[in-house]
This record gives sequence, structure tokens and C-alpha cells, in this order.
Amino acid sequence: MAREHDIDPLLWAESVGLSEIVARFPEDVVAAYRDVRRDLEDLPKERAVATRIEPQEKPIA
Amino acid sequence: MNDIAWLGVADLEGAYRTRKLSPLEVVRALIERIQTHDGSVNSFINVDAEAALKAAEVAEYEIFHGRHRGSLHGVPLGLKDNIDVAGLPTTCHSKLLLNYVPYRDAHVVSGLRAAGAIILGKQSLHEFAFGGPSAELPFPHAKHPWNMEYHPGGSSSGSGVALAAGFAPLSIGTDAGGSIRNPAGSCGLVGLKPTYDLLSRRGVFPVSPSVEHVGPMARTVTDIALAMHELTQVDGYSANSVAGLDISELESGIKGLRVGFVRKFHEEDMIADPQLIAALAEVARVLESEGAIVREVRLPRVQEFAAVHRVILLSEAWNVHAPWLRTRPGDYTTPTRRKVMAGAFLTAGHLAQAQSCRSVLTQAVNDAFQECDVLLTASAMDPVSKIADQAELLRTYSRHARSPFNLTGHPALAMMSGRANNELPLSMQLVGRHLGEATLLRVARAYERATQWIVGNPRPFGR
Repeated sequence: MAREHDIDPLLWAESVGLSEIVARFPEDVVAAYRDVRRDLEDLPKERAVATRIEPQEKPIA
Repeated sequence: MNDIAWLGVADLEGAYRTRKLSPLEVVRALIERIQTHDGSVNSFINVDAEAALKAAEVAEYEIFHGRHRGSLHGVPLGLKDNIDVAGLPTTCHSKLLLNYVPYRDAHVVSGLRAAGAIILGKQSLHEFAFGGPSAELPFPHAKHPWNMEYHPGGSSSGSGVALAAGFAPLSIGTDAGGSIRNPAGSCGLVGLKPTYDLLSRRGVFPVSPSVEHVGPMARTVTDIALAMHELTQVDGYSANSVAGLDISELESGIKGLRVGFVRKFHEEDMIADPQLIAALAEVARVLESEGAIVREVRLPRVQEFAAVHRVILLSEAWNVHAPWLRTRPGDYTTPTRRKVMAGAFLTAGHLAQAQSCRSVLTQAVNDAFQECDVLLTASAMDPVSKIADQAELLRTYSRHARSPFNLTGHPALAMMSGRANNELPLSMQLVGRHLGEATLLRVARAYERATQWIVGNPRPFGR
């Protein structure tokens, strides 16, 4: 999860329309990203496995 | 009667029935007290004295002419300022909503009016029930009435402060991650987050709709029970509505009831302050001495609950706030801006994963209730912090075991469990089965009766 989310927070925030925050409050963007990374690291991964469809090595049919 | 300020819902009902007091007398006394003292603790944003006095006149006429509607008739109360009252601003304690005046009451307010309750005004909160104390707020933040250097808890901070300061016997707050239970525990009160959607959220400004709850705060368990009994009779809007919570067993004691003590949360997952660990052990001992069967119960790590809760909360809050974050970011205070924009970094995949985990965690709590009737857990993991000590506030604010039950929707109640070395309250949490409020309140009442913390609590600003 951490690697998947290894992004530039300022670029990401720009891309979702938060240009004004990026320009005026860049430290808030970085702080918010740091906080959410911590949450994602604590998010249980194995509990979601039961509902995830794994890719098949060979076609089923 | 000189101590009107400290009478509860049950006391007022008795005093009105016997005509020892009238609603007008009580409302006048409380408004005068608020006007005299609230400037030092900032619990109210808006006091609607004229409407409250008018409502008190009507209640007085009805009660004294034999039309007593029930326990809330003629009872003054405050509402967290994210709950709509027709014609009064709902500011959410934010610059963004200073000019928002709803044209109709929130559903819970309609219910309160139908029960004859009297609305004193709107109470301060953390900005959008999300931020924290900040000098950037449009109104000053609430202060702990026992010691104004300390944080009263949040986000329903003004609602807790008003009760602990003797400004009202009842408040209605909201709780998306502990916002009723935190100030209740911090201020020596009782706060109930009912089962999800037992009380309607219609007309409440949303934080995170799938984890947010409306509930009562009061100085005693009995007052919470009376309020819930009345509010559930008149609600009837939410998916989980019941026709009047049965509180007839409130005083029945807890002999034979099974209490699951989740020590793991505060002794293994997140090591609590030793004062809280000792206080919780003492709660378990008291419940045992009252006849309950206390046994240890293990649940998944509290950090797992917290992370799943946060991903859902932040995703939903982003959905609410994204338009304003794009156009008016400078109108948020810094703590709120940082918190709500965190949702911008979450994807649909993260939310789906969190929802998947949520059902597993909810099932784990339901499984625990196969073997017990009520759970006992920590609420906060640390004693109340000083407002000026921002580092300590930040460190301790996320250290709690309240959000698991926002995630699972189980009813959860926080109340005082002792006093810390700083003389401020320590707290604990009791959790019930879905729609198990009656049993939950019965256990809380047995503990309250056995310990009587309220008798020794300070009475700020005198009688």
C-alpha cells in the first residue's frame, strides 16, 4: 500500500483541483498526506483478501 | 430553590409535577447564568433567549393545566451547532457557514419540540465537528469549566462544557469518531452514542454519514435514559427507529449480566496512561461487586479499527468538503483544512478495502456479544491535556478506543471513571449490542449508583 501510494502530494493535490491550497498552504498538503499514509499503513490488508478475486493463471474455459 | 443550575432532567420533571418550580423560573435562571458566566468558557455560540422564554411560558401553561407530555416537557437544553433549528444560524463553528440559516428543524429538533423540550441555543464545537481548538475560529473555542487551562474534549465541546458549568441539564451532540463520548468523559458527564441511525441525522450537517450518530449528553445516566426514552418515541424517521426505548429495567441492577472487559485495547494495542489502566481495573471490580460476571474479551487491534474508520471518515468528509476546499480553502482553520483534505489522497480502492474490513470487524464485535451482554473498554487512553500544550494534544487526541464503535454502529456510552492527578475526570466506555441501549444504560446506571462520582464533582461558578 505504501509503495502504491508513493506519490508527490503537491502534484496529486493539483490534479484533484486543489491548486489554491497547493499555492497558499503547501505545508498543509504535505501534513495531510503524511497523516493519510499512516492510516493506510495501519489498514489491515489480509482481511480484504477473502473478497478479492485473484487473477487466474490460465483461462477458466 | 437555589441550585436550579444543577438539577437534571429527572429532578425537573419531579419539580414541575409538584409545582416546586416552573419552566419559566428555570429557563430565566439558566439564561441569566449563561449570560453571566459563559464568557469565560465559551460553550454557547448563540443563545435564543426570547424563543426559550416563550417556549417556557407555553410549557408552564400546559404542565400546570394537567397536560404534562413527559420527562422532557419544560426541560431546557442546548444543541451542538451543526444541528439545524429553523431560523437560527447553523455555523458548524466555521467561517464558511456564518450566513447559513436553515428554514426547517432537524428531525431530532422536531422530536424535542414534540416532547415539549425548550431550546436554549446552539453550542460551540470543533469546526465542522472535525477540527480542533484554534485562534482562527470565528468564535472562541470552549474551555474546561473545572480548569480553564484544559481541553474539554470534542468535537461536541460546548455541549459538554455547558453541562459541566451548570448552564443546561441536557445537550444533544453528534459523534462520528467519539465526539459525544470524548467531551462527556473529559468533563465528568455521561454521553451516549446510540446504535447507528437510532436517532435521525436529517438536518445535521454531515461529517461522514456512514459513521456519524446523533445522541444525548447529560450529567447522569438516568437523564440520558429519560432523554432516549422520549426521543425514540417521537423519532420514527431513521431506519433503526424503535417505538420508545424501554427503560423500565434501569434500576434493576446487573446481577448475572456478563461484562466483557477488552483490556487488550488499552494494555496491549495502545498502552494507556497508568492512571487510566488502574481506573478501568477498578471499574471492572465495581461491576463485579455489583453482581456482574466480568471476563476478558479479545477483539482485533484497536489500530485496525481506527485505520479503517479513518479511511471511511476521510473519504466521506472529502466528498462533503471538496468544493469548498477548491474555492475557499482560506476560510477553514488550519487543523480542519489538514484533516479534510487528507481524503483527497484516498482512492476508490482504499475505500473498498476499508468497507470490506469494516464488515469483518463488525462481525468480530458481534461475535464477542455471543458471550457477553456489554463490553467495558477504555474511552480515552490519556488524562485530559492542557489546551496550550499543542504537542500533547496532538499526541493524545488520536489515542482512544471510541471510533471502533462508530465503525460497527454499536451503542457506546462514555462516563467518568475517576479523577486523574490533575484533578480532572478519567473516563471509561461501555458498549452494547445493536439496539441494546436498555441493557447498556442499566450497567452504566449500576456503576453510577455504586460510585456516585457526580456528588463530588466541582460546581463551577457556584450554585
